[in-house]
Amino acid sequence: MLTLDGVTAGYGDTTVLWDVSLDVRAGEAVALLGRNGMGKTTTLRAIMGLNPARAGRIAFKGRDITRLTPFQIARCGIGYAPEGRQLFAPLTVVQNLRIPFVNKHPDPRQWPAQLERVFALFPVLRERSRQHAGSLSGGEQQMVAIARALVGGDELLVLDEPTEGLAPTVVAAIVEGLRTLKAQGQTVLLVEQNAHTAFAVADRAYVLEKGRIALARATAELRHDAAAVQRYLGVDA
Amino acid sequence: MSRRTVAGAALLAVALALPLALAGTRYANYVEHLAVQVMLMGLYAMAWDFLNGYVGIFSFGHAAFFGTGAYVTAILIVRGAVTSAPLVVAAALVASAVVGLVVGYLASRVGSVAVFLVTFACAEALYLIVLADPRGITNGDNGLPGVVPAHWLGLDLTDQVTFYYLALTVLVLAYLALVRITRSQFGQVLLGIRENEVRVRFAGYHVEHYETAAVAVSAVFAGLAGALTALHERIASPETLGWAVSGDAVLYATLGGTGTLLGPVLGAGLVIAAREVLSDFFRSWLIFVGATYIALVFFLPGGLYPVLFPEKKRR
Amino acid sequence: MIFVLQVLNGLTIGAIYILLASGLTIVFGLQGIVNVAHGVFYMLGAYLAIDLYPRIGFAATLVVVFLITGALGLVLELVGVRPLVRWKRHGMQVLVLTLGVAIIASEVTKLIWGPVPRLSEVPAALAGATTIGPIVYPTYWLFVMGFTALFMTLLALAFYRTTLGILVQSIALNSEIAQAMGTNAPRINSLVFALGTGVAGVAGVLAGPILSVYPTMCFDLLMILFVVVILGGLGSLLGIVVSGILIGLVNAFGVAYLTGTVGNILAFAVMIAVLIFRPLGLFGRAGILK
Repeated sequence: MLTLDGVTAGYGDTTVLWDVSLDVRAGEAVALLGRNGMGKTTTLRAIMGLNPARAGRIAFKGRDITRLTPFQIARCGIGYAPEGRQLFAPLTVVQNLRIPFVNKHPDPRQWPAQLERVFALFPVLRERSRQHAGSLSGGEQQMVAIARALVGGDELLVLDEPTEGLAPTVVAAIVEGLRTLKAQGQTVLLVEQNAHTAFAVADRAYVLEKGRIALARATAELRHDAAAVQRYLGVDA
Repeated sequence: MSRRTVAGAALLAVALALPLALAGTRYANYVEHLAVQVMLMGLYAMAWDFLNGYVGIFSFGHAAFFGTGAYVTAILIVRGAVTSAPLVVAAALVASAVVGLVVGYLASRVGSVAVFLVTFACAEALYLIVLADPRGITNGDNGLPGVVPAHWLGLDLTDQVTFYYLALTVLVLAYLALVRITRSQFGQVLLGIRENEVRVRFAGYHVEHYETAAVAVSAVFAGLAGALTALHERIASPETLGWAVSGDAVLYATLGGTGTLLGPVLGAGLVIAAREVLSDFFRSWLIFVGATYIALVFFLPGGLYPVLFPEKKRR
Repeated sequence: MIFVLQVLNGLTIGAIYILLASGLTIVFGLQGIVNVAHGVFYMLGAYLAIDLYPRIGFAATLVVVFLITGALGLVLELVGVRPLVRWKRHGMQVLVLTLGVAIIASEVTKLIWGPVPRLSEVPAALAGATTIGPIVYPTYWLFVMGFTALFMTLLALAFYRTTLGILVQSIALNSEIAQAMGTNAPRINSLVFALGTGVAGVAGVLAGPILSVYPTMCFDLLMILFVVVILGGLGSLLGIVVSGILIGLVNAFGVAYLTGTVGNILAFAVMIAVLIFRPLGLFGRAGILK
């Protein structure tokens, strides 16, 4: 569904990604792993057009999206949950969700259904729906961020560190949510520093090291390769 | 020898020789008068460029400093009967510095876009005060004529040629001084603030203090230009505080090349020369100015300087 | 009694400031740019009204001017501002560009209509005075106040109740992420810009009979407008309402009890005083709030 081919990207004068190629097939959950500063967020931002690729090609459902503007890319059917959540804090949860729905969903009558789908996934949000997004706890905000990526009915979910900085119980709740989504057939690309989360959700994983793809393996294999995990992620599996 | 050095040396040589070459000719006075205007406005624009190009503060109220310099000079000579040029200019510089500190204090505390508005507001405030002339000092919108300094070190400052060389000397010294400042530790911190304010702050520098100081420095040089202009034209008029003069600084610097210190002088020269030549042909000189702004933004965002001397700017 | 009249005067002038400032401050909140040419649309509105009102009546004039100044604003945004934003050269460059436009517009206006100030007529339907209790006040001025109050209420409702309003807020809060959520920010920015200039034109029509109409009015009022916008806090609607009223009052009392220009100086003094304690203005913050 999503293909990156030889993508090079960076910020200002610096290049962060070098010749990155990866793909995500329909119905898969793919993880992009690596330590801090290896270029994971840059990759996602390149996909979303926030930091356009300087070289290479990005294709979504066969369509070249490398040079499209961010809102065009989002409207192609990609739901994005950025690093650090970045919710619209003064707006309510519902308003935060309304925005991507209104922009992307082809059928306005589906609004109640989409809301319901999101609340079924993260029941906590139901009570919080009229609260200002900024007043929610970290975990709840993350749920809103993921819900925001979902509610537009997009075919591909792109999530940047969805469990970052959250307490273990909350992480578990989110991982559960992601697994449910995957079981429903949702295609997911997620960036993670936390290998456990990645292994719990994804089918395949790419590992980024200093802006290049160092490894591409099925997670079933990778999780048992303690040496690789240690080397690239610095964590004991 | 870089192109820049050669051009600079040539220009300096021409400038030095000009009055000698023109001596005795019919239009000597006219050309020299114009040349002094170019030099003083160039100094003024240079001061602006220091603030904008090196520190990153876009002031739209530099007329405040220029006009302060002009009026303090004029008031001291005409109302205060102080005719010693160096004393008067020194006082003008101090006054400009004070105004610079006040404006700088405000400018350093508001966001980078609000700076434009705030500096504009400050200049307008001064303009209005001078116009309203509550104590009858400034003579309102007639301006304050009769700014005639006494002889200094045996030099007659009312003599065009003498003043020409004085202005040239001041311009060169001011340029050297500003270059020295930009290369000093103070200047490096300012550059750092422009590039990455957060990082500089974390390094322990009190950003607001530096910015305030930078504005004051710029104000002193702008005030110097204003003071000398008052002496040269022998009048201080309210226009020196108006937004048109503030806009002139922006125009000269953006046309000539921001962040270069010399670019503004070039810009001043071009604009003033063009104004002389063209205002006979165009009914509305200002339309030309407006069109230049627009063209600049689209075609020459860095001004002419980088086009003429495409070497990488030394920081 | 005089006091009350001055307060009403201040409110009326303040109303005009508020109408004008709303366009400026919202565009700043959205795109971080200052449109120095904003005053041009105001000026255009005033001049157009002088010619149009006798022919098509007041209400039609308001609508036509809104459409014209809105359309012209849209052109400016598309041709001038958008490319600069796209090349990431906004901020100072937009400033210089709009400044150039403003200078040209002012000069062209002088050439077409002459430098002599004019006063446009009060529309017949609103002429005369209204009596409220012991106070007799020009009807038209009350109308201007009412119009502004209505407008600001509608604006606030639009921001906080409509979907478009929420989209606009999201752009002001985080333009990048708003776009990643599929919001067509460039289009919305253009729309808002054009609405702002349209309202500026309308403000010009309304202000014609109150303040005089002359070619440099786009700059003179801009100065006060900047004070209002900064004082209120860039990007804040509530801010401009409060500061608009405040500056309007300061102006009215300044003009009444001191000389004209001193009124303006007072406005600056107030702004400077507030900035010392609250550098972002009274209600300055990222994002638009009421």
